[in-house]
Amino acid sequence: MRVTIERGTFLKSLNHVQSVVERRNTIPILSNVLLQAADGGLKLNATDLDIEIVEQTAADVAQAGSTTVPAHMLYDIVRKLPDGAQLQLEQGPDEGRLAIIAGRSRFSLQALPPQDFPDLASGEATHSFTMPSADLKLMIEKTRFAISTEETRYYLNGIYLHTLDTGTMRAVATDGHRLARVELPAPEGSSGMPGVIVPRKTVLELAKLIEDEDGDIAISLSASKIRFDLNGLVLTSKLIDGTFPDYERVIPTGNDKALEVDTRVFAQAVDRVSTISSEKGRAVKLNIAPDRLTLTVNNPDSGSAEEEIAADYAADPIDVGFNSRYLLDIAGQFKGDTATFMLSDSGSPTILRDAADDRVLYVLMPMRV
Amino acid sequence: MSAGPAHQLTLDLPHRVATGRDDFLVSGANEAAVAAVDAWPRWPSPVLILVGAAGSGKSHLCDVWCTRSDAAVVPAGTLETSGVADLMSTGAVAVEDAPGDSLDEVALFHLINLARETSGSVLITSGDYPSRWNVALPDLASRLKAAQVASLGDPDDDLLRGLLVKQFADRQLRVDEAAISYMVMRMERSFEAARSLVAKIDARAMADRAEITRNLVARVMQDDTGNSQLEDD
Repeated sequence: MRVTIERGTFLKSLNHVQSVVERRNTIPILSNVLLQAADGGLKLNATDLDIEIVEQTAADVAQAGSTTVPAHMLYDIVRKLPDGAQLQLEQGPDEGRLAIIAGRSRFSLQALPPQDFPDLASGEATHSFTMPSADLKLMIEKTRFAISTEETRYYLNGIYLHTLDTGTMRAVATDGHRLARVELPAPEGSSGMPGVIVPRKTVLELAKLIEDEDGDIAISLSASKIRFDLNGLVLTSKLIDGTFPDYERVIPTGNDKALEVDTRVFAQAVDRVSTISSEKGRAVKLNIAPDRLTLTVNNPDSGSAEEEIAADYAADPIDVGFNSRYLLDIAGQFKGDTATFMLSDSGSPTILRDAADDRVLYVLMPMRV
Repeated sequence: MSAGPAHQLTLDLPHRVATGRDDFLVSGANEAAVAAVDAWPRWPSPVLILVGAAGSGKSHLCDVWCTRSDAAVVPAGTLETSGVADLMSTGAVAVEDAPGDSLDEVALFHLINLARETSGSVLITSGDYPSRWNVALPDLASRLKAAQVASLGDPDDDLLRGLLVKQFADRQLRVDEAAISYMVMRMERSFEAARSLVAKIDARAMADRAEITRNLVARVMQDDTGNSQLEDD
């Protein structure tokens, strides 16, 4: 293999694929990136056996070939080389090493045979559709904070993506304390797809990859794998082998106490009063009365805090406690000026919505204070 | 529930209960009932009555039988004479939770008679033996006397262990062996206690964002004992 490639182009592609490679691996080849040079350019491939990222990048290929070298080390080398440099990748005659040459710098990395590199075959997809990257970003951004990180709850360690008969696609995440749901028109071809749980790591990788994308993203999936195809880069991931709970049952339909507050004023007040709450019990109590919301925090170790803000509320007064962190997480997602709460009582789930965006819904369980 | 002045409440996310034949745990406590259900359609009597405490697996066994026999299911309290013929259209009917508070004895009598006349089958689940149902209709009492009765007893250690593992598996939770052994050695020996304890452990683990370890199980069981002592006082 003999390839010449521009440093910036190579770094960008390496950056995409190397983040999927775990820092510690019991199988040595999983620390490596597979480099395949052919007429079309250079193809990079990295995997942790659950996710695989393959990216095709432009390169001048003098001699085709393939090899695998440590991904993080290669990335660090390329990152430290001067901007605009032309890199030469050369495989020695024994194929056990890969040389990286740029100007006066010369590195020689130990290689492992490419035929040992695992192939995360995506298999036969049952459904394929395209989605504007803005929609996919919305689904991820608005729900990812609610994904459970508890390994015991593996079936909640991802975003549940599914379609409804009404022609809508939903992304849902919950950790049992709060639930986030985004609803969008279902893309053509997605109807009847199996409900799938996309793992958290895949979601985070995808979020990074599509950050600067503004085109369409092709998605194909089966009951066990999902594949995202974006502009020369393909991410394939296994899905979580579990059953997402029937989350509809925890979204209340009869909450009749409507509270409206200014999102920014509310978030700032929560942030201020929670300053004195202890690390463990971050409860903030909301005393809601007609046209007035009082937030209080009592911490036996440090004191108390209280702040009153204007609110639009006409039902019976109610006291309810919430984890301040969860309130801030949700308020942080709201782009509009007004946040709407639909409450029932101090022990039941509350619905929160951004008045400016009816596509997104949050359900938050109170704290008993 | 959780210690401390403020604690997080959790969403009551439902879980699916596996009710296939292979999911039913067989031990000495219930093998006679399983054998009786499995013997269908060669039942010695057209009526089989499964008797057992809440959670002992009557409904599960009943589900298994309904799937095999394509039976219609009716709660005992809603059984009516006018609907008996329709119910028996597939030749098999399951009557759940007899006798209940409002059993229409005439309707049940007709149902059993129809099963006898048409070589149909009726499976009845109950928390008590039919001899203790206080049946007023003498004809029904004699029909019930002729029925085959199979009971599901209190769980032995093996069944309790299997039951706990299944209950956690139904909730998609991985629990280590040490935690299960700890529970089996110390818990009340009943199906209801197993169901309720697993639900409490699940809820506590979710509220505290904790793994289900022996320590967590011990804390839940300790709080549980404390609460019931308070209630007794």
